[in-house]
Amino acid sequence: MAITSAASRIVGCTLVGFTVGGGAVLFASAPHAAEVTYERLVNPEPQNWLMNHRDYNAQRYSPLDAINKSNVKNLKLAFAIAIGGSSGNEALEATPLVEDGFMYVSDHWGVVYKIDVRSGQRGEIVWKMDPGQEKLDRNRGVALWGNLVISVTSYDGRVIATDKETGKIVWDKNLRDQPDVELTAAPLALKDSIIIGASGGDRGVRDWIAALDAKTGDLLWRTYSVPAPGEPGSETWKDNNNAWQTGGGAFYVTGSYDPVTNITYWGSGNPVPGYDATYRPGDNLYTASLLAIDAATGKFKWHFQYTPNDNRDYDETGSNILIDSKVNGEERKLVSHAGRNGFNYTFDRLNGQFFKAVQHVTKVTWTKGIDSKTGKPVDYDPAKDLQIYAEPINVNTNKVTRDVCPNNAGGTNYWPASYSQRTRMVYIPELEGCSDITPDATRHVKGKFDGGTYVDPARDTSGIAMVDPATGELKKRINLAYPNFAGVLSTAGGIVVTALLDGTILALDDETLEELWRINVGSGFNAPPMTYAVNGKQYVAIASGLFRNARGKLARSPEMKNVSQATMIFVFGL
Amino acid sequence: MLRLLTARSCATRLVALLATVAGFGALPAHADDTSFGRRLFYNKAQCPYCHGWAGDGAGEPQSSGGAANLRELKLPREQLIEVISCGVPGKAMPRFDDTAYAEKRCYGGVSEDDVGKDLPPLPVGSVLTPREVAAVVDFLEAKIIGRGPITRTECEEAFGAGARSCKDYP
Repeated sequence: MAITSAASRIVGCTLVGFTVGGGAVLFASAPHAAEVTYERLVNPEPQNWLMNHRDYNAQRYSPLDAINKSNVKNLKLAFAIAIGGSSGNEALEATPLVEDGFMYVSDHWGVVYKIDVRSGQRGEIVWKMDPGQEKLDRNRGVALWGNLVISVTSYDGRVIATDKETGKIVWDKNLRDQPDVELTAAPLALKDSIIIGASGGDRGVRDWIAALDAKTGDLLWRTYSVPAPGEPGSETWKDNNNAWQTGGGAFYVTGSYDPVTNITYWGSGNPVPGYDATYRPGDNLYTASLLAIDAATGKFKWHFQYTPNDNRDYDETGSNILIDSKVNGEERKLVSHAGRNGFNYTFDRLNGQFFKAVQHVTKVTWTKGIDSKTGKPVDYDPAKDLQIYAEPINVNTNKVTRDVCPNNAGGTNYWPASYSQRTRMVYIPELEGCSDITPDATRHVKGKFDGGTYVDPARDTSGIAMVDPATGELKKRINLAYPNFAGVLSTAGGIVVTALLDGTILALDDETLEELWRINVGSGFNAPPMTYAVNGKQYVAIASGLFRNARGKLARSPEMKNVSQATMIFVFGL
Repeated sequence: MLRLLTARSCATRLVALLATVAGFGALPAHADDTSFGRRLFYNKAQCPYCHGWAGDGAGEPQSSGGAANLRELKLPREQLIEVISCGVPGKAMPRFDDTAYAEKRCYGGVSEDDVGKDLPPLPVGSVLTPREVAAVVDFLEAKIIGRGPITRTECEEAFGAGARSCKDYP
């Protein structure tokens, strides 16, 4: 940052910030909006996007169809909004929420913005709430509950409720129970509670899910993904290192929720140290698992572990899509998860019964496949404390390098898939690439708990895989030239929208995956696209600006070497 | 560009800025003449992504890992400059001089063809000019190399006086 721009910022602070004071600076008065009730969260209005994944089913499917297959080619930039930008190298990963013409979004300093987007001509920032977060990190968005906007503050470990009208902080709770714990997932607002997922696992954190009283922020329950000695699952930690205390199992993507059963579905991250399984022999429950959690108590109703004793950083914290669908002529309640380990899984969400798994990436080398009965990798050996799968026999040997596909960022990751109610297909934003991973037993100390190192030896790319969750069939796939860290939106207009690290946003036909529209904005995307309507007009919005790990996946794309990043929200309309 | 910030964050950022921007009006007692290098280290070059904010090798978990503990580094100045400019072939340490190999400025004239697929990647932050590399080395030599365990004072130099996360350090 140039000193002149820093100086002018200080002047701005002195003139406005210090004289007004308080939690926020009001830029314009706004009419009072309706409260976001539980009933609205269960049945969101078509024009609104009231929670991170749009609905409790995490489908990221919008019933809006004004922008559709036949006219999406005419989509153009309506306006853009610059947010963040108070220091160099910032990024945005949040899904903007929109309620009745007002957008709510967070930047990587944990700053929350309320933006008036009613005019369709420009986005006017109504207020911003700056929590004074100490370290720049990541932030995947906010939740709406009642008259509150709920947000998190990464390494600060705070959860904050801000008054939707005034931008003033209503409550501010500190959940930081370990030095390296991190809060980056958008909170999930339920009837009376707010569900928060903790991450930072790779630094040696024992991660957890917690529920807070939505009115007061008081802690209702907190459940750790890694059990303490004596608790169920602790028998799967067979080390003498107290590895459970630093065992990971992070939650950095918002879960889904079934209001009928009061069960919330969250995926947990990898066991830590990620690249060295010898530190933690055993299956390492409940890491790399799908967890069906009783929202009232925090108890696990059922779980399914995808990759026991993982040593490739295959978190399975990505979204869990709830789908009601006919399977073999019978109406079933499903949960579908696109795995970082390269496979898409479907389960009965009531009892956890495994249905189907199908490979969604082009190249998988770590296993020969998934057992069609158990859902476990075919080379999983429950009698072994250290799994080898289909990797070389010395896969767990210190300092021995192995090439593994998908790469350590996975076949997909925090960027969410979408389920179209129109086509009954899941669209998976999958990442293509491999990593050379080297376990390093010296990396087992606080703050440096990855247990090894990696490099991606070649260019990373991506694709969109279309999977039928009811049959487990891969119906179609297209390849895209740059990695996808953004995710997918599907709509009743028959389009699938996604975006890439090179700054391209594109719309596809939801049946053929044929490309219908694209634009390159020059700044990469690692935040999901969303859609909303106001005054009868539909828009597509997406935040730009790449975080460092995303930029790292362009290291082997030399033509991208001079590209800079801008933290903008781009809004498109017809 | 005029930006409007809250009072509280302004206060923190003002303190941090005054602590880091040399020649900016009334400086605090601990004037930092390596501020340019510090700013490059934290922001433009993004060194902490792999090496950690204190240079101890505890970078972001999503980074490649295995970054050197700079606090324990024992390299002469010329070698520090060469490693930053040229990276380490076959390792994750990037080259901050984009054309260093194309123009044979590294390790006795090694070319891009010589290193082949072991060519060090470009940084996740920005490449640096020779003057900037020298400034980063100035900062490393003054503030990072040879320092013992991380102290609260050092943490507050980076994140501002009274930072909550600095209470983790003595």
